[in-house]
Amino acid sequence: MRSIRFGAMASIAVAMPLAAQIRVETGGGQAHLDQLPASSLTALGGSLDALLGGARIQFAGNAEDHIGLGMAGVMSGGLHYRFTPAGWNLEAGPVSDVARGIEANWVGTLAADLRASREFGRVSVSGGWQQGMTLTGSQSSWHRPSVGAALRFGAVQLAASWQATVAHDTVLNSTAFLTPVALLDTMTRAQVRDIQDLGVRMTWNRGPISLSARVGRRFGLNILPETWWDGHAALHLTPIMSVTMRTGRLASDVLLGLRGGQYTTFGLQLDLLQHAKPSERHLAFAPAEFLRESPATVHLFFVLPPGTRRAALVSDLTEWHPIDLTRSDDGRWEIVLRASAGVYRLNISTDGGPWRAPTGLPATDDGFGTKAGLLVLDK
Amino acid sequence: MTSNAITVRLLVLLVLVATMPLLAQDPRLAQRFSEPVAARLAASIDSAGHEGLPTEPLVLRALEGQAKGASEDQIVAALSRLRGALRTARETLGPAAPSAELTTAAAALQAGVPEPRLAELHQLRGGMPVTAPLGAYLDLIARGAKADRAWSRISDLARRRASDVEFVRLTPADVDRDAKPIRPSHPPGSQGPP
Repeated sequence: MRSIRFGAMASIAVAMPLAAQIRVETGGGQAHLDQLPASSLTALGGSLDALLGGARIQFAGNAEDHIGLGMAGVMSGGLHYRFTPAGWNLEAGPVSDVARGIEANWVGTLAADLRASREFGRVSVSGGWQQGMTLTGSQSSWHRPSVGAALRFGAVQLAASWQATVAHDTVLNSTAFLTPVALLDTMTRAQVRDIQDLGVRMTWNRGPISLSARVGRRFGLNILPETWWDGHAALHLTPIMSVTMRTGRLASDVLLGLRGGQYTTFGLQLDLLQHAKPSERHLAFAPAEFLRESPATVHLFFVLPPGTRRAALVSDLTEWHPIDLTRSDDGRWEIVLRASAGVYRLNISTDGGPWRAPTGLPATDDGFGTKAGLLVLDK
Repeated sequence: MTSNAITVRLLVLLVLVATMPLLAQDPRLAQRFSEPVAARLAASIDSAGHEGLPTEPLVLRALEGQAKGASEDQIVAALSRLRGALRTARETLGPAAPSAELTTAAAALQAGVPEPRLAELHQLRGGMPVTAPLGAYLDLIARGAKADRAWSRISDLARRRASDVEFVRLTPADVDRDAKPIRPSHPPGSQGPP
């Protein structure tokens, strides 16, 4: 099976009030599909990510028009409610996917999704469970457990994950046409496909460059093993503009029946921030928080305006060397530093802007024309 | 021992004495500043060290200035102000105050805590460190509490010899609740119950 897509994409992301972000993406290129002539394609996609109190609404969709072959597309949506009992971050809610392959019918899934994650210093662990059903097609039910762990070393994050997809397909009994109906309980039988994905991921952020790479192996019952991978590089030219490159080989989607394939895209990405003057943007910062995970370390969290691409911190704790903050899965920016009890000064910068005192911490005139935040660690 | 050998040893001794300030200079200054600027800052910091003041916060303040692109004069002025705050903190808390407490007190003074309040707190704490109450006071103000009300609450706790944990647990809501007047049991203006 061969499916190769090569194209150029342009995307615009607009940050909205209420911690929401809308992204629109469009582009075009060439598609080489198995046993079919190459054709040009155009693509249009969009996504919405909004936080409303403890609820998170996510929606994404994209459509590709292959000239002469037809339309293909995927839409995904979810509503999660987030709560944090005893230091865990739990998210639960319904998720749904709808897809249409080229010259194929629409296929959809609906599932209940539960995710849990927790951080222990530089290590974070996560797990999840999806219990779902297929809205159309031959599959009747499926479940998808997953676990993962990540480790941070400064600007580098290493992660490993395992995910299984167990689908109970309903297929026609192969003897249905040879055996008298009276001898069969049913014309169909269940076929179980147990598919496992093992993967590792590495991300690296330093200054204006972000790199990430993922590679994994798929194996299981009733499928041919395959290797999937993808890489992403971004160079942030200005606070709102970056050039990106994505390439990879995606595995097929076993639930939606979409085949995988190789793709490469080059893109220009514009992040249009909130319509506020740069000097006013820090007012949108939510208070900083910190967590003493041990007497020797402090875990700092900052909620920065939607659309922030990069964030860095300088502090007494870093001997005033800039260190990049890492964006966590929940959208906050974070860093773990070694710190004993005391009072420490710190500043943060977003998207290469000036050093500012984060809101939520006591601030003092730093003597250099701006203010420094004070981090008070009592123990 | 020949006169030549004595001369050589004297020269070596002279060189060692001449380079002692350079050897004592914090290596972080040499890494981040040009040689003459590092020497000027090191002289200021060493001078504070000779007074018995902690030098680490001064080195960090110099590094902060460099990270923020401040001029040499701005950094020297910032060091001078911090040195003054450290000196005031030591005079208030006494010569036996540990470096960490002096550093916290100096940070509080530079954040706007008046020196008489620092002295009052030191007296109320009766020898216990002022780090936790000062930190709690700064935190309350950062979270929107009125300075006078926050100080009133902090000094009340200090007067009762409260533990550090009690200071850390203080919230702006505690301060507001304590500051609210008690509802009168009769309408204002009336004579009230006999």
